[in-house]
Amino acid sequence: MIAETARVPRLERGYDLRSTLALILAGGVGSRLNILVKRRAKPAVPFGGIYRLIDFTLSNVMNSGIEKLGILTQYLPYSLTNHLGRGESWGMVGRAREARILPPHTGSSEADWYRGTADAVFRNLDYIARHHPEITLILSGDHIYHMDYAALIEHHIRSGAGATLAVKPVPIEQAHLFGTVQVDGEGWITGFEEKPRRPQSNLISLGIYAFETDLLVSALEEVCGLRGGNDFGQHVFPFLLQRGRLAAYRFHGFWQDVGTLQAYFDTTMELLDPESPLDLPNWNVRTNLNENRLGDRPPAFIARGARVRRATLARGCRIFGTVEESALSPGVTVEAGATVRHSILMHDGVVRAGAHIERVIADKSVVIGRDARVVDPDLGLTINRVFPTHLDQGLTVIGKGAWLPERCRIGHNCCIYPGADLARLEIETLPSGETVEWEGRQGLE
Amino acid sequence: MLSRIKLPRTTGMVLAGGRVGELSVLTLERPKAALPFGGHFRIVDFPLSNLERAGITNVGILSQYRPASLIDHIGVGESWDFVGLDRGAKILPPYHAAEAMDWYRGNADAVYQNLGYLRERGTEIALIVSGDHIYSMDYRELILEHLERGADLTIALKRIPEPDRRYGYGVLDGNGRLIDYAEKPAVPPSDLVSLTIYVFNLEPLEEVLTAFKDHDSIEFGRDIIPAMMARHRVFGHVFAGYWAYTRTVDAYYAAHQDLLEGRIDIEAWRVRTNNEDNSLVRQVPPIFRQWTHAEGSLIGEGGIVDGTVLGSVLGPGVKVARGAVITDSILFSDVVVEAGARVHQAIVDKRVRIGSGAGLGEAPPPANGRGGSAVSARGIVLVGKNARIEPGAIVPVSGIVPPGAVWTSAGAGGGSR
Repeated sequence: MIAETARVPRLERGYDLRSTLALILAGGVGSRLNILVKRRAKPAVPFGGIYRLIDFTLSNVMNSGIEKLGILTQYLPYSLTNHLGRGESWGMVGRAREARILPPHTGSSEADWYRGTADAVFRNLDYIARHHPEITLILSGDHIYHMDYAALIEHHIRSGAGATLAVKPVPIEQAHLFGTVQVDGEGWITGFEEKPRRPQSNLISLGIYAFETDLLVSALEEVCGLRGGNDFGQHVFPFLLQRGRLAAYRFHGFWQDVGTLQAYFDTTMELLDPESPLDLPNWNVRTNLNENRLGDRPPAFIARGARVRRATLARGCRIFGTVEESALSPGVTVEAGATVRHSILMHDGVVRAGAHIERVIADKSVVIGRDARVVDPDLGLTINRVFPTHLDQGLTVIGKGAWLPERCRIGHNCCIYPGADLARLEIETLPSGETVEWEGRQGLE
Repeated sequence: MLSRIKLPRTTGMVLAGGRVGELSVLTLERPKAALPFGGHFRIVDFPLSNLERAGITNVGILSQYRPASLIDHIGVGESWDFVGLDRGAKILPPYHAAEAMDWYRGNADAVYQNLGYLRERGTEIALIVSGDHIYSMDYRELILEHLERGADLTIALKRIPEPDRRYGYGVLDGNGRLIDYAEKPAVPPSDLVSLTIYVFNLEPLEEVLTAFKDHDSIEFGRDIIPAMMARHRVFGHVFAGYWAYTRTVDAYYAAHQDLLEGRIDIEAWRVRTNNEDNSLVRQVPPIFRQWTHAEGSLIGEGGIVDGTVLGSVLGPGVKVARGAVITDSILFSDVVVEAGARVHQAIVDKRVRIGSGAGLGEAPPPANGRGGSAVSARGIVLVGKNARIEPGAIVPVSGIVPPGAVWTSAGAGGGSR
């Protein structure tokens, strides 16, 4: 794609990857994940049983040999702070290694919340200056993929670009959902479009940027400091397009944004498909096993008389009933005579005897009472009235710690808020498309 | 009872040195205490977790037989909260001192050689426990009883239904005082066996150990307990909970059945392990494929199961191909069972590959003794670490495959290791 030009000598003298600084943008609300992000930031959403979304990016950083990492948070950062610890789970503790949470802070000219992706980095220029990396890598904390950033950086150095964006071809009919990138025959970027109605290109930007640090600093000072811009896609890249050379790095592996409940559900189901390029056993993804006693739990137990197929069961699960096409996080109990199909059940959930669960995403510590039926197809297929764009394909989502009483029936496309106690609310039947609120609705669109 | 009872300064000493021949190929390259148990745990996790729960945070681990796996497993002890101010876990191997120290000459000698470690820590009470027993005990209760009685030594005992010569036996009077003790007696004097859990006041312990220092070997059961009884106040504490000594292949196997039947409750006992060990940190939760039939089993992290697994315990990273059948067996980490292979009543060590269509524990043991063993009365098959069972090969009941061996239909070949 791009001719090998000026930067080759830098590779020859040996660019030290360890000097790269990675910054993970982890401030996103991810509101389309609905109640899953009511009490946690999107990067902290659990995935694949024992992981959180941010583990994929953290593990890519580790596996790429990068040793310095800042994580820019602002929305409900506690679960992330707790999860990251000192970064030891990703090998980030050592004399020259570090991982730091970088929350918004006062003391700069504007004491304020981050106003966008570029603004978040701009407000941490002193952190970048402290490390004075040659190359700064800017990443998102909420995508599922496995990438060797060293290959991206090598491409960046060889091309002589000021910044390099990772891009991926997608079917053209899906391109309008993303930020697209137009690229010339040599791999230089010639234009950007954010969620275009008629895409000019099928290459989407993956939110993975390698910058010459000098260029990043000067661009942010100009765009954010002087012109009031705050977003990489909308402000920084259009600005740079006029001034410098922006290269595209084509990534062909699996990459998925799980920003909607349906994408989250479908991507989880891919874990169960032996043919899927989402090949988790070979990705070396790490998580913090010290969190919530995860590492102390015994292996999954499957009792006599149980049936488990096309499923994944994390530690501490105890299965006495049937589990098919489902992903269960640590400590889930499925009692005898209960059936769980096509569902995601998070930590310490309980499905009581005789209950039947299908097409459900249940957050942590949900209790489903005896002989309950979720979802019951006889209750219609109405799209969720409060969240018509979140819950329209049949999934029902149950918030953390919600409690569903014995013999209750819940329809498709329902939303049950965290902590909701349906027995206290005297709800025995919930028709499709309904929402059960509990403690208000703040934090959701 | 208050949860914050101030105990005298107590140091835990874990006897983890032993390698017992009765465990055959399983302990060729590791001490008994490091033997995997229940998937991703090791046996030593049970006493270490008991120490953690009792708030005993200064611990020495006495080890001399091939301690590498134990050293890796214990690390700095952070898994059991032994790291921090006034906390610490140390592996204490034998060492050479100025006056030509030697290998440990018995379990009591191991403690004798480390009296300095106990003194350095300002120890008032030494809690000496075996590293290879499976149980959950509140050591604080034991120590409080020891203090209330003004004892110099308290040993834990348990009633067993069928006395057996392998144990040490104690006889108690009405006040719980130990009035007789016999190690491996021809005729047991009671039904109370010693659990190798000793609470010693440091001073009498030092005194008695020092008196024995010139002996060729010193054992707690044989030498120290009788000597203590003669001169000090020695009591017995009768423990009523579950306790298993996995000294033989059959006992180790039976303890796994207890685990599957719920008599050992790892969650309720709050057993901790080191997730850094065994590469557990890189394992994904186990995945069950289309053709899985799993019942009555524990399936470790990283497992990929597409075959049948009944009444078995699978360690981390075990792969079971479609059509393979594993029944009543224990598989350690990273074992691969290929399509159509059958594994019955076997204990299979790490990284063993069982070829397609192979059969373990099927044919009767051969009369000429090839591959047969007196190690397991139940006829359990043992497969050593890194061995390879060739496709279609048969390992008979009671068969033993050495570590690293290549087992063909005709028997083991290819040498060991």
